[in-house]
Amino acid sequence: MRDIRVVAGKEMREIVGAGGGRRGLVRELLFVGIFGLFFPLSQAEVWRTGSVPAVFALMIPLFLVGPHVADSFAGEKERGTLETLLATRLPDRSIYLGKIFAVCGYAWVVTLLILFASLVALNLTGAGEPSAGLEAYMDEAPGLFVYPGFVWAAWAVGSIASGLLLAAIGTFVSLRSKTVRAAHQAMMIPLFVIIFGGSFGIPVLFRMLPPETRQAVLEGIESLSAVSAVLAAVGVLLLLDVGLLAVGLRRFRRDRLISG
Amino acid sequence: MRPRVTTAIRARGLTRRFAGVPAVDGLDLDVPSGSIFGFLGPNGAGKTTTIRLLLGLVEPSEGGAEVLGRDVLSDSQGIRERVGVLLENDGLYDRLTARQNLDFFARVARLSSNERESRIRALLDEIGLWERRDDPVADFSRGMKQKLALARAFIHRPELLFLDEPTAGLDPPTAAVLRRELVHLARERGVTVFLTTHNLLEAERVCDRVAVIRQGRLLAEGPPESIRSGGERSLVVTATGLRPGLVARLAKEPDVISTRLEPGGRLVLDLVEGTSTAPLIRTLVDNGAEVSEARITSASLEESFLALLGEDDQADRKVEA
Repeated sequence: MRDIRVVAGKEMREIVGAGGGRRGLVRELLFVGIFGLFFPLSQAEVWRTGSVPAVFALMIPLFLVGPHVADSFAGEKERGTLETLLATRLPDRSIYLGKIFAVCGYAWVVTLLILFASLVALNLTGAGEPSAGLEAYMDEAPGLFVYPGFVWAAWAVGSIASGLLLAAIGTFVSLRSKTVRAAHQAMMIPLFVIIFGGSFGIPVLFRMLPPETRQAVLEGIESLSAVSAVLAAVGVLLLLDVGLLAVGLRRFRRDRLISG
Repeated sequence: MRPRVTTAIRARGLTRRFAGVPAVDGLDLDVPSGSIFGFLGPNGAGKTTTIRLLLGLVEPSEGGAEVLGRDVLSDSQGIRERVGVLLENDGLYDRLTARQNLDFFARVARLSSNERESRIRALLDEIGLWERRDDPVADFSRGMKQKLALARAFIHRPELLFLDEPTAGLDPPTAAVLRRELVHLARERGVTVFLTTHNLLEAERVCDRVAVIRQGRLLAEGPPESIRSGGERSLVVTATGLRPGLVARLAKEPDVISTRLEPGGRLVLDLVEGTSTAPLIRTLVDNGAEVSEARITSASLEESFLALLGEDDQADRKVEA
């Protein structure tokens, strides 16, 4: 575990410093500004229902994980640091998991910042409330607005699960790519598969089920609370993550990387 | 606790093939502990693959090796714990500072917090980069990066250092400084150094022993002098009164391979190894030559190296024929 932490720490430093120190932070702040302030304030009513932040909690990690996981191995190869890293005493699994946990942790923290920024923005401006505006909020003190529980469930475990999914797939891509550019280009495929497959593929597959099964599934979902439904979906994602990570761990061998 | 081994690296029949083509071919090698061992060969000779095999980064197709008494197949992690490396690329993270780079590798080596701090300070001081400790490595010159990479290789006090072309791409003054640092650090700490290079002057200056490899095969191994002595020795005489008849007479001496009379009264006699030069000089003097200077020159390591490669080429052609 200690080795994983050491690798993850180095990766995190590289991720945050990728834009060159302060510039790196500006990029994150821009992300928080757009997703945590601009969108919530411009579509406040929908945000208050919790559906958009819940979906964002699952989607934003994908956009944050994608570029960094593409860089994880392909970047080290391109910059000539991979062989030196492999020549250390670090076990294979520590290198592999350290890199994955770093990008997922980074995505999780930025997603959390976005969620909190949106909460602060909605509370301070009162956007989406009938009597909108900071003044109205101050005068009427309508009480603190907090997202419903399923949003927190989506953030707490959903964002990790979706980030892990792309990170696990992304490491396969990054390991096989010789350059960062090639890895970035190849990463578009799993990203599209996850986003569009999730949005359109699942409904299509659902329609292909026999009517009785479809009915049973719908009844099952309806019987669940929103939080349970989110947790069930996240559970499926996590199972997928564990499977992909297990395959990744089996396939990640330094001799393959060097002679491949 | 394991006893300190006297042979840092022992390889027997070490072979690695890629797609059936041998990159390293039946290599037998013994590197004594505490020595600076030069591994010489032209590009593509198999030097880097040998290092990778010895580090356990690639598995041998045949044969095996022990590094610091540990088997490359069954205990490669044990090997990597005890060695330092500076491979073809400096392996430094450009986005991190000099201190962060060393700190990462010190953490990897599981040095304690206090030890990390003191090692980083000492090494950065030693290579003259303490003042630049918080600068990103991306801002460093190639020479500074190589020095920092050398410091990184030493961070966990390794028993053995693998250095793959450490001075490649450096200008001569920087290369000389790096060589000095390397010899200083290695000798002071009694570290065994396995150094690959195709800079023969560097090998001659720095190494206690050298091995010459080509197409994955070991051509020669021993102290640089012994490799050099495989080549010719010449007696260079500067004199007046060197008549053609006298030169022709010397050419007939059994230990003289060839003679050449150069402008400025310089006579070069290529000799069989072990020839005593005194009788030849006496013959010159007895026959009226006035000798102002006489010196013996050996073939440089470079000449011997090229001769070895040439011989190997000829042997290959004979086999093909």
